[in-house]
Amino acid sequence: MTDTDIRTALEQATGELRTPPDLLDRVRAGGQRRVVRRRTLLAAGFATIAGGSTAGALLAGTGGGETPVAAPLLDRPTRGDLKRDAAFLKRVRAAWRDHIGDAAVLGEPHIAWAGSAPHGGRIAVVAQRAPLRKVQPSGQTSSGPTGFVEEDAAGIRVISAEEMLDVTAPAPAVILGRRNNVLMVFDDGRRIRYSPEPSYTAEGKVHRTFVPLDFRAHDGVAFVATAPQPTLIRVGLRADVANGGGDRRVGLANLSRLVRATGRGAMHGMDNRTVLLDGLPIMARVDLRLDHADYDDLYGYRIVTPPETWYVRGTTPDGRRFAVQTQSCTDDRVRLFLTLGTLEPALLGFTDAAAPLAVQVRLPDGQGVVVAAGDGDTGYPAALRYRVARGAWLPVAKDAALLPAAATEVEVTVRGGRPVRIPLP
Amino acid sequence: MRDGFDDFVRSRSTGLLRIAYLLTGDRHSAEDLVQEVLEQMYVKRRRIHSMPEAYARRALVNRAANRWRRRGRRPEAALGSHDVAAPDHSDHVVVRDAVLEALRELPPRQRAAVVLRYLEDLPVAEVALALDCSESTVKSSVSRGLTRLRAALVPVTTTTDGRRS
Repeated sequence: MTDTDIRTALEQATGELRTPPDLLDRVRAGGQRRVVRRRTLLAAGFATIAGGSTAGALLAGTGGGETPVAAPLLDRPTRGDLKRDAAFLKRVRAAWRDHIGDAAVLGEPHIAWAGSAPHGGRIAVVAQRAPLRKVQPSGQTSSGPTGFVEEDAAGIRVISAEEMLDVTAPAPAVILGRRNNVLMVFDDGRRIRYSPEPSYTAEGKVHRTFVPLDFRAHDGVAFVATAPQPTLIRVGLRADVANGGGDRRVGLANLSRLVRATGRGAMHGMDNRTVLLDGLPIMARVDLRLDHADYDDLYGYRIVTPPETWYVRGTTPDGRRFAVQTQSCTDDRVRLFLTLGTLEPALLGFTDAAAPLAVQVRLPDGQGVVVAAGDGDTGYPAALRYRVARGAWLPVAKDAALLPAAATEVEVTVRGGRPVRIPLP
Repeated sequence: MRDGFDDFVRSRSTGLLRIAYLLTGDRHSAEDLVQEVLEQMYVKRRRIHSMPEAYARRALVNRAANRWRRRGRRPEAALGSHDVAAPDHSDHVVVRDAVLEALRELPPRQRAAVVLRYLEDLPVAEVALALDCSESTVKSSVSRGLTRLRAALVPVTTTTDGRRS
């Protein structure tokens, strides 16, 4: 078999493929959405210092030109109970210089806050001027780096560093402690509020109750003790004052570090397992997918890749369109939704995404049972069979299906595993 | 600039879809992937206008590999009758299924190396650029991938000398 034969085989395998005629329109529309979303996400990572509350002024130009530019964090006196601890401040500046290395900066790092944290560590918020430069992809102007420095028994280190931007501003919160059980929020003037955990409305949308933070006890910083959160961060933060992008979300400065520490974070967003039983295109104009903006935890944080979710769409025997889908949240609970004959999803409850048969929904009016099989830890699709009462086992083509209403039991087999029989509801 | 991007989408999207299809093994996932990559390119079109093709190939490979990783090494599940065409038992369908099955068994980067080298007919240097690796790595990946691909295709393909192998 020659190289030409291989080429021919690959061409044969793909020769019938054509892109949809409206692809360009979709791409343009999707691209525009991404531009908007990117701006929003950027805004979420940072927090605007409220008008003039902590803003100083910086001279534009690489050598310090003439245009005054807002430079929050840089020009107010140091606050915190360790603001006069010269030895600590010196160690903070040294750690900061080590961290930023050869980056082009101006003058000395400024310590905006230095103090003791409830978990026993010492924390500092540092900022430093740098020649103004445009930062892509936001196109905003950066006036220099800023970040958090932590000292504990293991030593002193920079735990976050980011740009101070002209429209948005740096993330003012960090999660501290060996067990991620201390939340620290620096008062940036946006009147940040705190929520211990998400809850759900009757429709399955995420709800949070926010309470004010007391920034007086620690001279401009609030500490909140939280439950240990090795892989989940249940807390949420929201600012009363929207940032320059109109966003009330509050960035977590060391989120990337927390993600890396779990070893389980892809941070590419949730992945969705889609099975279409109705033969319509995946991007059908009238789709039944949840609008994630309504069902996501807007003010929470993720540090591990969420469990795979399901979207099983089809048509019932009596001709109604249905969709069964799952949706995860920052608290790791997975909601199960059914949309049937309308565009409105109904919350059925919660499911265990790791269960052998993660989805089992009996449709009303004898329209059948929707099932979808999780694949455990094997990484391969599960094989399904079903039966009616004590009848013969019948094969299922995929790992998700609409079974006849008479089905009473499903058998799930993951690769290398023993069959598991699950009675249907 | 916008016209340039539009022209690129019109002229190259089918080619990208073919690559994506062989990388994912699934028509719908391939369409998703291509659309994602093109949307990403739309956002960055001013910066990548001089090399859209190379950018697109690299993004496709990376995103396909990321999907694979996120799914815990589970291959994209084909959607049976909703795939490219209804099974009609023609030679093309048999070959297509065999190609997809064989590619599915290859590690993602080996698969990408074979697809870019033999479907796109790219020089080794450009494949290396797309995979962000050395040319020697590309050569060894292609070699190993081809060995496995040949073994899988021999029973279902007609060779250039006209014989059913």
